[in-house]
Amino acid sequence: MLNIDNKIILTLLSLTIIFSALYTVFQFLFKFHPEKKVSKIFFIFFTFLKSIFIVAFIIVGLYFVYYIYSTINQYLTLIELRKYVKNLSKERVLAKIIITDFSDINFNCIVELYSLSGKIFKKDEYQIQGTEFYIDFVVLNFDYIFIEKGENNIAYPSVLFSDLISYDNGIQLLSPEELKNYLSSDSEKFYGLSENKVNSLSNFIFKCIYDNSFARKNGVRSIVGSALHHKILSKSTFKVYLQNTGGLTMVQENF
Amino acid sequence: MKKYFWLIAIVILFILAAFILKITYNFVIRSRVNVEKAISILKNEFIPLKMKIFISENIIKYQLKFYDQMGINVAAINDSISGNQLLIDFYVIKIKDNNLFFPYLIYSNEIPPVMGKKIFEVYEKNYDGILFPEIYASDDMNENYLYFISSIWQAIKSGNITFFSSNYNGNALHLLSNISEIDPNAVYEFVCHTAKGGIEIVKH
Repeated sequence: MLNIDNKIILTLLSLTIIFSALYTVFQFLFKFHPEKKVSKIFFIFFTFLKSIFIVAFIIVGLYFVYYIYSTINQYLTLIELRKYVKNLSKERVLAKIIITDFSDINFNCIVELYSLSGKIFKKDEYQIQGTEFYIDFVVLNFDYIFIEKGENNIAYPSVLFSDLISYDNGIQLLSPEELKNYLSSDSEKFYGLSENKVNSLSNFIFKCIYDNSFARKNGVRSIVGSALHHKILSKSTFKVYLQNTGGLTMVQENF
Repeated sequence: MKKYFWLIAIVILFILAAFILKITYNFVIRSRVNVEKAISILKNEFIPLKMKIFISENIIKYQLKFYDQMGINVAAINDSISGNQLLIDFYVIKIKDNNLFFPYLIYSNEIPPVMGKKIFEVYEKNYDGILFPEIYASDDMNENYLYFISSIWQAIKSGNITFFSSNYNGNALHLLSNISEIDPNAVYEFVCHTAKGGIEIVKH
């Protein structure tokens, strides 16, 4: 891109004005004082210069307008990008696992489930055999292009199990009815959920799981089960987060 | 003479103390810089594992291929397990706001984790006596990076993952697609996000 600053534009403008003034003077002399002998070549030369500088000034002026336009555009893009980055780096808490008691063979925990808007949805206490808890979620990751535009990934809690208890023998954290309520409470927040298209977020998710082409068409990049787990070493609290960049993370809360 | 003897002893003690302090300082500073330098080599997003899967009559046949940071295949597993959902378990270790991922266990919806199959030694490589998880081999790899990754690797292998305490967790991933929808020719990639710590499975 050409680097044209105000100095160049002002110089061109000044020269254009000077040559235009000289041109006017000569024209005046020709018209009202034909007796004065002025070189025609000199006059033509100034006329030529004036024309060149007017054209140059117009070109540079247009370029300057374009430059202002692109600067504003870049600034707006930057604002948009900041929004995208902000949205991509967003994370939402999904669950809290509080270990209340543990031994070498089992543990007690309180599981708090949060809806996607961050409100507590369900709180229950469980006693499970084992020394490591596993909390499984169903996660729908959308294409980055949708995330950037403001959509959010979706996840819901599925099964609680342990190192000694298989996934199939684990505890279902939400009944089918609870799951519908859990998901529909936030359905207006997500992409592709107009009334005409699907009735609720749960329908949308199940359709995505069972129909790959539907999922792809609606911008779903991946659908996975993700079981986060941690060895129980103390009475501690763990928080599970849903990342907009994709996937889940779990952190141990420090007091 | 006795007075001078004490003076010399005090001076020697001071020199010794300064020497010890210097060594401690060097060690602390050096180890801090080492971790940061090693972390700077990590990629923000990478695929250490790709999977092909075929499920029939409650048996999962799977093929796993491990890749290094340059995308070169470094190891593979072909095996089967009973069940209809395969869980691939990763250790996720957080160090200085970055996450390291190590696939280490395989089990199914029917088999509890404690009975799972350990897979982490498949992608281990010996670098002149230093055991290193080859999924972290990189073009920019240096001695510092090698020692950094291998020290974490040693902790995982020796079962001392709890050493990292609050800075680690496991993440067992599994496909949710309908069994009939799983294409035996499709390749599923495990995408790991170093900065955030998330893992996802993306169909290639």
